[in-house]
Amino acid sequence: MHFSKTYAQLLLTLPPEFRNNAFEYRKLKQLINQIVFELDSLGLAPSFLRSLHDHGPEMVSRMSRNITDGTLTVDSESMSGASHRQTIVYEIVWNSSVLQPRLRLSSSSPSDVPIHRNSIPSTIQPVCHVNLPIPERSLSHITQALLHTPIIFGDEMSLINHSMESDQPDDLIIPLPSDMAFFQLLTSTLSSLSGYLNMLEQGFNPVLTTLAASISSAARPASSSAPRSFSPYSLAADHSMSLCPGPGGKSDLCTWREIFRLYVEAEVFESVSESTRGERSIEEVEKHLELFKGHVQEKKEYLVFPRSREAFAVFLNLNLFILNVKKFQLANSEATRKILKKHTKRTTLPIPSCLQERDASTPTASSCQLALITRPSKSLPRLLVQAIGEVLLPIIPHIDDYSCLICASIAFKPIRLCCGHFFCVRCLVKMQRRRMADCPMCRAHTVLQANPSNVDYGLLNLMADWFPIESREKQHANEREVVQEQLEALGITDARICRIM
Amino acid sequence: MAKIPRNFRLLEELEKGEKGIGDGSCSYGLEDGDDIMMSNWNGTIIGPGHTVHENRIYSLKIHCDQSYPDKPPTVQFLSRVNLPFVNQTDGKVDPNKLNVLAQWGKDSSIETVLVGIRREMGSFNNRKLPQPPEGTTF
Amino acid sequence: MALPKRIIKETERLVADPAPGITAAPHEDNLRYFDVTIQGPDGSPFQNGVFHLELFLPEEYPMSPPKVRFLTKIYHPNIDKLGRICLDILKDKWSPALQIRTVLLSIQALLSAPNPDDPLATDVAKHYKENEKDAQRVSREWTEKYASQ
Repeated sequence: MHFSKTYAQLLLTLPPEFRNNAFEYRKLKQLINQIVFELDSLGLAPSFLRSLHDHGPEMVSRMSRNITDGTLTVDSESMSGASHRQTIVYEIVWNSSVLQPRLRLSSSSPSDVPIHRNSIPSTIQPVCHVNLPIPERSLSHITQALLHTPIIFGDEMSLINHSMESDQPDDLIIPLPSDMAFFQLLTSTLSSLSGYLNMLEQGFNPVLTTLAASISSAARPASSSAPRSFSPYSLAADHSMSLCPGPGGKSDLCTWREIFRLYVEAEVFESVSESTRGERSIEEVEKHLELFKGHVQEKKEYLVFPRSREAFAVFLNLNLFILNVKKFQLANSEATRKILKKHTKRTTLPIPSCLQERDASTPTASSCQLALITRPSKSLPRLLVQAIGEVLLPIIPHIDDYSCLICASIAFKPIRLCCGHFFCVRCLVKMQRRRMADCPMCRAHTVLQANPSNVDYGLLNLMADWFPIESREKQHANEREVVQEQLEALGITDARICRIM
Repeated sequence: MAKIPRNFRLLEELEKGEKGIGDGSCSYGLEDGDDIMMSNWNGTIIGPGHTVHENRIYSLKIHCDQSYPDKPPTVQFLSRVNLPFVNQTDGKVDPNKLNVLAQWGKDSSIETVLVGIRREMGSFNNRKLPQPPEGTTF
Repeated sequence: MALPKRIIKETERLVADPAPGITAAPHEDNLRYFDVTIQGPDGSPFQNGVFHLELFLPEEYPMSPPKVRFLTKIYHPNIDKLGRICLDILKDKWSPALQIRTVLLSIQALLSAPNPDDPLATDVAKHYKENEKDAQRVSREWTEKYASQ
């Protein structure tokens, strides 16, 4: 199937607002046809150019980075050197923020080219050259065609830019208007795309913040001693200050915690496992989102507040939205890649690699402008997923942040050592009995100094409020363990005797 | 209680044996230091004083198969000895006739076997049994 | 007696999300006893070898370190003939915050960085100190002989 069809079908699966901002694939394709026509009328039909490639000497692409003015220069030179004195150069110059493709018919030795290149100021900077040596017999054929074409001579060019002193006077510069229209449409469509994506991001964040506020009001601890807000990392804490606590001690805390746990475990957009770490493909995201929906189906029935149910719908929609953005972005970068490939294939004019991919290692301003396919270090879907992780998920404290590293249960009651690390009281008592002096985390000699004054009451209250069930269970388990130890100390080791049912 | 797997149990016993146990009247170690499965052991018992075994040194072979320590090891005397639980043709110890093997439990070990045999040597019934010449082997 | 929560959690993660080059699976009849494999690190004489180990979590764990031993023969200055490992975190430098995963990763790292100054196998250590190249050759030979799949 043609890509244009595939692309159109993919866009149909997205909401209309995405479709209206899509990539102008068809128009660009039409322009390529015009370029071919244009070249044909110049006597440089692609089939002819291809024959130059095929029968000429091997083309070597050499890339040199002109760091001083921050632009990229690509030279391709003929291996055979001075033996072919007539060459056609396809160059794309970056002239006052417009990419101008043109052909340069030159009689200079190709080996001179890189030398004078360095003296060219950055206002008119050829970014690409492909030298095609012309066999003697074809020359007349070309010049014949050129008679009917508006051309600029090399010395006229130097009038436009007077500092281009070393330009070869014999050079014929042939502008390619259709090719220029192609690049203009391509750059404008890409820049409007990136503007649209920016707008999507701007719109996403307020929705997320409102959602966070709404969930945190519904998931407030039910206990009377509860603090009115929870704030270790949450931005939403400020909003919940102004909201009233849930009526009758009801709360969706546990349900929301469960929903968020399932969400994190589903790893919808990015895998965190050792073997498959990283962003997931569209198909995988769709699969994992469905899995999450399946798992959460039953849980969401336990949401007591209508605003919780609404919030849940919004939450799912946000995830679908991110999936759509991901699809949209992927489709567009694929379309860019395809259209450039088509350009090269149909016109045989090779587009330099520096235009096709941004080199992340040299993030100079101008090289970014030149890149047609930008591969940003962080894609928009990633940023949005990250926002969920930073703004939304932390409004419900996660038990892993409050568990004792030694027993892996909630660190109740929490003892804060002088080095700042906290563990549950049972584990520290066991360590002290074994005369283990070093903090398990930092090896500071703080364990034996711990005493009842090291109980972290702030943390203790927080745990009791936000993890009422877990804290109670841990407290009971601790007490059972103490009884067991006391009996063992008395020499009663049979577990059956001391089991208190 | 956590159940200690055979290999780690035998490693513990080996370390204890290397350090030396009690008054040194019993000792044991791996027959081959390369034996990663730690199946074959050598044991020595110094005969208890005030008995016919006084000043005699007895060598034994102990074999711990895969079922150790759920099942007792098999024990065989290399030095000739006359005891009711030792087969007089090949030196093998009859597990049914030796208490520490017959009543094998979770606290039993190679050490308890050797100590148990030595205790039998000094028991009222065995301390005066006539013995083959010193230094002879099965 | 029920398995402590900590061991359950560690096991779940070990099985679901194993560290690269390391596997660990508990025995069905003893959930504190693990079958372990470690791949020899690239660039070490143990490269391309797969080493079998056994690991046991004693009753005291995590107050006491796990017990670990190589079952595959290996020519390494800190590992003896019976597969016992000389590694500080398995002895006096144990911390209850360390885990099975971290222990196995440390053992893998020990394969990359033998320490002949703190030997367990003194003859191997001597070899490594006097002629490291030749000692590594033997390590490679043993890897090929005993640890190839």
